Amino acid sequence: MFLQTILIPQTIQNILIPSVVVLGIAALLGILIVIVSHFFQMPVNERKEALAAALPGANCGGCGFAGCDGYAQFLAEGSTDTSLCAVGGAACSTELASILGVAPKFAEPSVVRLLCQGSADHTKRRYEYLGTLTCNAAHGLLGGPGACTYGCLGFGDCITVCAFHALSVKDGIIKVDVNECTACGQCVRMCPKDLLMLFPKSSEVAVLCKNTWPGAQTRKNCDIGCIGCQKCVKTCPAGAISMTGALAVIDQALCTRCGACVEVCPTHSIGILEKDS
Amino acid sequence: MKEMMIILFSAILVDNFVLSKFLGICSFLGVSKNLKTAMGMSGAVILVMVASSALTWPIQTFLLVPLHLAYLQTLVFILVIAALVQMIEMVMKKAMPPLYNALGIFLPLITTNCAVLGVAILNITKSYTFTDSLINALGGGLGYTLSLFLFSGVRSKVDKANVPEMLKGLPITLIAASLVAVSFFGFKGLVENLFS
Amino acid sequence: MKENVTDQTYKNPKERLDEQKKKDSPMQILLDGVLFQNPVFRLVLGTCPLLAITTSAKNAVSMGLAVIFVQMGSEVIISMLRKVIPDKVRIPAFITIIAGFVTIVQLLVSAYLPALNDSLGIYIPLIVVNCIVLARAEAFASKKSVLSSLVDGFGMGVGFMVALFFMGTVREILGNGTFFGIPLPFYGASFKPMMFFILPPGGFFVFGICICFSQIFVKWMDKKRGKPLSLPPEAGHCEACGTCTACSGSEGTKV
Repeated sequence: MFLQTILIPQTIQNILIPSVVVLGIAALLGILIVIVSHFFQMPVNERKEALAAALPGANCGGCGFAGCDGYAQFLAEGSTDTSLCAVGGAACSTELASILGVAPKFAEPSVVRLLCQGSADHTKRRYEYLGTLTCNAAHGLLGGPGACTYGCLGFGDCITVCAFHALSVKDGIIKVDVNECTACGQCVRMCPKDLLMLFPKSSEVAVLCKNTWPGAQTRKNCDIGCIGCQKCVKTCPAGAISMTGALAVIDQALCTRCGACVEVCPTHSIGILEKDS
Repeated sequence: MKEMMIILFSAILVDNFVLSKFLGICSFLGVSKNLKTAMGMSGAVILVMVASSALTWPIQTFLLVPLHLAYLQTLVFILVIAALVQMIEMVMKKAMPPLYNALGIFLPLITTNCAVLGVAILNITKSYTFTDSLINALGGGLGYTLSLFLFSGVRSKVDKANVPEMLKGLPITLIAASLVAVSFFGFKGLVENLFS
Repeated sequence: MKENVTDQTYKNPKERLDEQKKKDSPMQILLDGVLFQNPVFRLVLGTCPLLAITTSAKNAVSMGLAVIFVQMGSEVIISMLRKVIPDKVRIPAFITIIAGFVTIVQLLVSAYLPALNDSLGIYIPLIVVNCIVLARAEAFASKKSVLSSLVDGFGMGVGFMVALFFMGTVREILGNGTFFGIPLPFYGASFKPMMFFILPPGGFFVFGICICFSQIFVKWMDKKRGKPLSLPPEAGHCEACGTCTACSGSEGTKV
């Protein structure tokens, strides 16, 4: 060892050399980290940070971007559409607009509704399902264990993606809490039967059924489903109701919320928003 | 060439780092909840394992051993690994944003992952050459990936099944892991006979 | 993690202070470390050495003693230096201190107990990345006084050793037919030990059953006490090893 030629006692050498080596390695690593952090600095986009701070931070994906950061990036890059965040609502849109210096845009507040009323009192199971307890899995087995294959299975795939706890299972079907729902749209994508749909909050009347089977077949399997009797079509003063097969559908743009169809429906399959919330 | 294949396949299959050597269990149990996080974590683990083996082997061979400082191995290795992970994170954030979005969040978790330090020390105790160390690290990372993928698939099924109340959660996960570990036992004796 | 609301409804501030003092008393810290917040069965930390070392009771106890030494030493030093270490470099600083103690253990074991060195192998240096040591250093030692840290280090170390010893005993008796190397009388030619328990899958299996018993114990304690045996937020730390254990270890990381 070259150091042995210098007149340093062995014990001090034994302490000095390891200390120098370890401190040297630590110092070298520290310097390397500083150099790397200097050259690989990310430019901090302050406007994007301000926009991201104004967003709710729920990262629900309802705006169509990968999380709140994605939407903030989109706005920072020049877009002026501040209406895309359904969770933040009007207040958030105003704040975003004030940061960007543009006029705020507002989307119509919406909620999600389940187009099915086939709870345990109204329908039954046609076979005992022993497979994986998810809607998507059960739907793959001949449309699921419900007697009506259009109906809600209640295994809760939509509940697992709802970040706002707006969905729950009641009597075997999904119940929407309209006060918690922010219309982010995640549950709509999850339902294998497309039973969840976004409605503007102003729409109060909808046909809560998707069953297009003829009336007799529907009636046999569920006593609250639409049988296609067309009484509502004839009663509607605005002509807002039309038929798809044996299923009535209400056009929300034409509907005047008079409630005449609700009174006349024999199976009570048309529902009003505040009644079933 | 034959030795390299033996090292690679024994690291992946026979002496699987997670299921045989029990390195990296903490993160294994935590990250295997779904397949997406499993993919991100395994990518990060392979990267850090190979990079840290590439750095720690020369330090041991050319610095610590000639100066009779082999006892500083633990301290120096862990410092190097921690610094390396930090630098990789900074470089990835700037130069490779899509890769950073995929596996960047897992990088801080890997600093204290037993598997990374374990593979660095194993390379030394088994007296591998430099290329052998890299192959061992790559095999370790691939073995981790394989067991993580298998286990996350098993776990997503187990989570949906009707498990008895007292076994719900971690107990049934561990019993499932034990069965996956048994399946890897079938590989014993494979490697020597395959390449001879 | 939502804190238990019933824990916060106190009659007056003095009662709250008394409750806090009771929580920080050495006896409570010790009991937490060994029983109520057992690092292995409740916080689910330190699983790597647990599964690897518990093939025999002797290995388990030796590893436990090594971890007690490292845990106590590192927690005391970190607690003494907690006001000095800057926040940005705290993790590397903690790791350095822990690595120092682990190196001491390594050198002592390789010099005086070479047989132990062979049986524990690579797991002695791996104590430096043992989740328990780093997580407690970050969550406890960097915030509390030296005496509390000393007691906590001892408590957590003893808790770890007790867990290791329990699992090691079970695995050794069932899998090897011995206890501390002494062959047991009821094993013979007609009743051989089950080798499964010594092998890696057996480790997972026994650990799963142990966690099952620990969950049953927690449920029984909850019924007896009336309020849940909740883990405080500083129990485990996500960044330390990626397992979020603030929910009694039944869920994985929230990544």
